[in-house]
Amino acid sequence: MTQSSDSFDQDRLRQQDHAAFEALVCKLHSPMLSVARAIVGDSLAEEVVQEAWVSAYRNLPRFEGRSSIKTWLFTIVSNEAKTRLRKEKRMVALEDITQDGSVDYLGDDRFHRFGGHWKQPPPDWHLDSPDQLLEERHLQKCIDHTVSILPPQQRAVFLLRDIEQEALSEICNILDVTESYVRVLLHRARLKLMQVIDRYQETGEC
Amino acid sequence: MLNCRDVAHEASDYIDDNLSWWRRLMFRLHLFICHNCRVFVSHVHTTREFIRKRGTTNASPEQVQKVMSAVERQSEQK
Repeated sequence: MTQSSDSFDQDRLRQQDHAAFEALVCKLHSPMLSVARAIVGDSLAEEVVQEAWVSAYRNLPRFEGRSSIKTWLFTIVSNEAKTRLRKEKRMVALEDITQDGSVDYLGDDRFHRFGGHWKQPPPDWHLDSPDQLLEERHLQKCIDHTVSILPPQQRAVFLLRDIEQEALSEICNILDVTESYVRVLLHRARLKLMQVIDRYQETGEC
Repeated sequence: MLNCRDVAHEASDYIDDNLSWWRRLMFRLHLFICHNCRVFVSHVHTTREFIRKRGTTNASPEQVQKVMSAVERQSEQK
C-alpha cells in the first residue's frame, strides 16, 4: 500500500490526539527506520525509532511548527541514533561509494575510453511515462524489493529526497553528511531503480 | 564540452537543478546534439517522477501497534 505523505493535522497532534499520532506513525515509520539504519545500522534501528516516537509524542505539545512535522521527526530520530551511537561507542562504517559498483550506467565499460561516448546506449522504453509505469503491478514489487536492498545510507537519502521531498540541506543535517555525498547517493539509487525498469521493459521480469 | 560519461554522472543534478548556470548550459548543448543522452536523461526524469507518484510505503499494523503500545506505556508511567 503506498500513498504520499501529506500534511498532518498539527493542532490535533499538539494535543497528543492518539488517532492523529497513529496516522503519523503509519506514514512515517518506514522513512524513520531508514534514517536510523543509515546511522546506527540494522541491529539498533528498531529500538532507536521506538525511542524517537516516544520522545516525539512527549514533545508534541511543544512543537512550534518552525519546520514541517516530518523534518522535526527525522531530526528527532537522527539525534536519538547519534546519541545511541555515542553510548554504544560503536562505529558504523560509512558506505564506500567507490565499492558500490553495481550501477551499470556509470561503469567504464559503458563508454568509449576516448571521447566518453556511449558504447552501450540506454535502451528505448515502450512504457515511457510515470503513469504507465504505475499501472505495472509486478514492476511495483520489483521496485519495493530493490529499495529494500539499497545500502542503508543510499536508501535513507533516496526516501528522504524522492519520497518525502526533504531539502538537501535538511538531509545533510539529518544524516550528518555533505551535500555532494547526498547527491551522489541519490543519483546512484535512482540509477539502480532505473536499471530495474530497463530490465522490466525488456523482459517483463525483475 | 561535456561528453556522455559526464552526462550519465550528472543527470540527477541536471533534473534537480543543482548545476551551476555554466555547467547547465554545457549540459543542454550536449543534449541538443546527443540522442542517447536525451533518452538517458528522460529515463532518469521518468524514474524520479514515477517514484514520487508512488509515494511512501505505510508501516504494517504490527509496527504501528508496537509504537503505540510503547507510547501508552510511557504515558502511564508519567
